[in-house]
Amino acid sequence: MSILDDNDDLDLDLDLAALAETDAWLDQVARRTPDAHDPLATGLASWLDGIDDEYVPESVALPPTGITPPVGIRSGRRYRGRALAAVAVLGAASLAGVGVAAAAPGSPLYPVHRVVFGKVHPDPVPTPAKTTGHLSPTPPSHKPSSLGGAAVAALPGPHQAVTTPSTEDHRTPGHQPGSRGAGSSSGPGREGSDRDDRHGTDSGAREDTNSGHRSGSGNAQQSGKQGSGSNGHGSGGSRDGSGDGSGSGEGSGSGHDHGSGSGSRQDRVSTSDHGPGTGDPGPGAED
Amino acid sequence: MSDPTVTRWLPGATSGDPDALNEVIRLFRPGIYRYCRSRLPDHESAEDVTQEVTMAMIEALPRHRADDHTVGAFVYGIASNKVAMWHRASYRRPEVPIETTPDREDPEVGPAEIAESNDGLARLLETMDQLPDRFREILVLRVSAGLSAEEVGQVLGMTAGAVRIAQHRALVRLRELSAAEVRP
Repeated sequence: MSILDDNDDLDLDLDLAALAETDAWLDQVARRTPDAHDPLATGLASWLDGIDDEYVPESVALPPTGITPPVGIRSGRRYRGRALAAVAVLGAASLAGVGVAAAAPGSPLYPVHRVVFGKVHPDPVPTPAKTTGHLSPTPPSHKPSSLGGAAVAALPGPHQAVTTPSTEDHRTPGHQPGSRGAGSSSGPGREGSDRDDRHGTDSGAREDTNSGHRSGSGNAQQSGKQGSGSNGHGSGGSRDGSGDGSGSGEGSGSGHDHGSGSGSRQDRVSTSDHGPGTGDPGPGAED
Repeated sequence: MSDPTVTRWLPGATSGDPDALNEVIRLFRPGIYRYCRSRLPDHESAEDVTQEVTMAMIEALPRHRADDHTVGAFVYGIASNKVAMWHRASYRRPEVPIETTPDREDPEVGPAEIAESNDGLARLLETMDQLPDRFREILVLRVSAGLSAEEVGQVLGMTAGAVRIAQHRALVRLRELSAAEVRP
C-alpha cells in the first residue's frame, strides 16, 4: 500500500482506540458538528460551509424521458429577461415592417416603402384617363413587365390609360406590360382606368391590376362595325376601328383591335385568354 | 451514505423510473459538487465536472448492483474518476504559456500578502494541498462526501481497515502542517 510506504516517518504504533477516535472525529466534521475547541475541526467545517454556499442548486431531471425538466437548464431570471426583451424587439420590428409594407401613397411611411420595395407601389391607384379618339396602330411589341406584378397600362397619345401614378413607366407606346390578376367590372367601355370611345358594357371579370382575365360582353362601337367575335390573342396596343359586339375573354399579351371588334381586348402582356365569348372580331380584331 | 431517502428511491432509479432517478440525483448532487469543489481549483470547473458526473450517473445507475458497492461508493467512484480525468486533462492544457510567464513573482500574491491574510480557511486549504494525494482524497471523501471508511475503501479499492489507518495518518499529518503554518 503506497500510503503506508509514503509515511515511514509516521508512528506506526497505531492502536485501535486512536483509529476509532479519528474515525469519530471525521464523522463529526462531516456532519458539521465539530468540537468547538478544535481549530482544525472548526476550520474544516467552515471550509465545507463555504463550499455549500457556492453551490447553486439546479433543476434536476432526466433528459431522455422528457417527463421532468432536463438537467442543467438554468432558470435564472436574467435569461428570462433577455428572452422577453428579444420577443419585444422582434414584435416591434415586425409591426414596423408591416406598416412599411402596407404604406400607400400619401402615407408618411410611403417614402420608406419606396426605398425598401422600390418605387412602384404594389397596389397602384387607378387614375382614370380618357381614351378618346382614334387609336392608331402601333407595331406590336412585347415587353415583359419588370415591375414585379405592378403593371401599368398605357396607350399612346390620347388613348393613354394610366393605372398608376407612378412615373416609372418603361413601356413603349402601344404595349402594355402587365401581370396577372383578377377582377370584374361592368360598365361602359373598359372598366377602371381604361376608357375609350367604345360604347358598351363590359361585364365579367377583369382585374384592375392589369392582369388576368376579363370576360364579359360589351358593345364597342368604334367605327360602326358590329360583330361578335371570339377572343383572340394578340399583342400590341393600338386599336383601329370600331366595333360593336360583345364578348368575353381573358387575354394575354396585348392586342390591337382593328376595325370592329368585340369581345375582349387584349391590352396586356402576360395574361392569357380563356373563356367563352361571342363576337365578331371584325377585321384585325385581335392579333 | 446510507441515507434512508436514497435507499427508498434507489430500486426505482436502478429500474429506470424517471421520478426515482430524479430524486436520487437531487439527493446526491450537492455532495457531488462539494466533493468536486474540494478537489478542483475553482467553482466553474467543479460545476462542469459535477454535471459530467451527474450525466454519467444517469447512464450507469441502472447497472448498479448493491452487492458490489453501496450507491454512495458507486456515485463517488464515478466522481473520483471524473476529477482524475480533469486533472489529467489540465496537465495537457497549460493555462499560462511559457512566453508570458513573468520573470519575477507577482508581488500582489506574494508571501507577504499571504502572511498578511488572517484567513484561517486559506491556510487550511494550503495545508490540505500539502498532503499527499491519497491522504487528501481520503479526507475529502470522508468529510466532503460524507462516506464511511467502508465506502471510501470501495471507491479507492482499499479495505476499510486500510482506510482507517490512512485517514488517521492523514489527520496526524494535517495537524502537524497546521501547527507549522501557525508558527512564525
